[in-house]
Amino acid sequence: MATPRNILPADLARLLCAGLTCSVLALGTAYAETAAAPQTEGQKQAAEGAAKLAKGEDDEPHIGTMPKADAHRVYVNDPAHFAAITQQFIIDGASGNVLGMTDGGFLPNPVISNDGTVIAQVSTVFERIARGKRTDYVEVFDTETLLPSADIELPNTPRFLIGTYPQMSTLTPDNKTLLFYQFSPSPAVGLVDLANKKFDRMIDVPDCYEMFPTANDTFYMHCRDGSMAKVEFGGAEPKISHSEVFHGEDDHLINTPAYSMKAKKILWPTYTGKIYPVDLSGDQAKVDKAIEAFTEAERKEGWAPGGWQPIAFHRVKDRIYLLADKREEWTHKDPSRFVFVIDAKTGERVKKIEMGHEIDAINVSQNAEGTLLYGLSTGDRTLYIYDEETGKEVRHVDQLGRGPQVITVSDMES
Amino acid sequence: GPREARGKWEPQDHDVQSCNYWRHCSIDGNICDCSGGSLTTCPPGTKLATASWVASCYNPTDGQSYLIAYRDCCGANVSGRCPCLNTEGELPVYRPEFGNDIIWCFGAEDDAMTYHCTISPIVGKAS
Repeated sequence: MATPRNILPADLARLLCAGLTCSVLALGTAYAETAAAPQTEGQKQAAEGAAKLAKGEDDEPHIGTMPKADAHRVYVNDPAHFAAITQQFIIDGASGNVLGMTDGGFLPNPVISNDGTVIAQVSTVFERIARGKRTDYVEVFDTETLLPSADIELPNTPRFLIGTYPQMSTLTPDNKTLLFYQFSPSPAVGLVDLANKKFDRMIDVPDCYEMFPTANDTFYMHCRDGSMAKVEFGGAEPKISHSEVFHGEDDHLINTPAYSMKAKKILWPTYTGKIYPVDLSGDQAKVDKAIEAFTEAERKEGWAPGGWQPIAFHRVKDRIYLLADKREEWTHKDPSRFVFVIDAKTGERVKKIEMGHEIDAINVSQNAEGTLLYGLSTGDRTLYIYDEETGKEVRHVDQLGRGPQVITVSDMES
Repeated sequence: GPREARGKWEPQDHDVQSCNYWRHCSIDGNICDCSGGSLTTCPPGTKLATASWVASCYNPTDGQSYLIAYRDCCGANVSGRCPCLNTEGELPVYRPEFGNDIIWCFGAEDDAMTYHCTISPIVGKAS
């Protein structure tokens, strides 16, 4: 950044006092230099700018590039309360710096690969802002320049326009195929060939929702009848089979489960805090013993999950994070102030983290050491970042659009 | 006013522009009355969807529950006025008839599919 926006008193003093006598500013210099607080990005840039100026170096304005993604890269999508134009913020969770942004249309679905090499979205624009001819498209961004590297039009405007559910658009493990969901006129899944930058085809599916890929030609869906469907699309005709029905009609599974493609495992909470571990590693979906996040007494006190993206899973630590609070029934999309950390193997509670804010979405970096827990407040438009081990808030990133709701991370760990 | 976070749904029957107006018990988005429409009509320049999600809302005045068919007014950017999110009886997307995250613009003229606001007409009595 050539022009620092936040200038330290120390730097101001150097800039303004050159050749002058100004004791007040000099005092400011001394104070700033002895302050113990770590430098903010703005202060760092100011110091660098001042140092360059002092050395007589010229500014050379240019367009920056994105650093290579690491385990602390985090993406915050802002559906902006249904606005026709939206944004995604690309953030370094370790420093709390916004590294870049991408623009989206109406309710886009962000798609980020596990290795961090694909940043894409399935998006919708209209010829005249919110009216006129509609175009649905997939846009892939160069991860270094954030310039579009592919722009693939989807025929017959097939996208499902809905509040942003992460599993309504996803990638196969080889990152070569992008899947997106169609609701109307009938349930279907669209295949986009990212390798050849073209729309491939729509696959008719039963009355099922969301996609959980396990192989380059296989994904699972969750069906209205309470079963999981397996869809194999490698052949000329898709092969579709169903698991047993695993939950009752009145057992409501939330819209935004956690899915680890590397573990082939879904952690799927209900409105009351029962969590179904859905194992997709076999021939057909198999549902392991459900975990109860709360004791009977806690449920009576009103403890239940709630928010937009209220569950996260750490694959290596095998831990579940559930965003919850004491709440009235039918307030399942209201924010929560606590995260319950649960051992996925034993179902035992590890700890309860007080977030200190009204949090709507959580996620967790997938590195085993220095794991970060992310809590996004739609109301505050702020991403709060916590040390997963201590549960302490370590930094935050504010001014994230108008109604940010979705946190995406990559699972780069082997 | 807006319902307190995680608080009990306490419907009232005296202010349509307030999130706790009884017919808005499962509204998601913006109240059309706040941008030139009314409780049951779309604002000028928008398109009225034919499809809807439903909810059974309790009317504190007559003690009856009614089926509200929430229909979206479409083809304009989100109004930004009187935003509300209520989820009384709201079900996940695999039960779409009770799912309110869906943009219910199907059937609107000119295939308008952008969300502007929602109306709360009664379609019948609920039990």
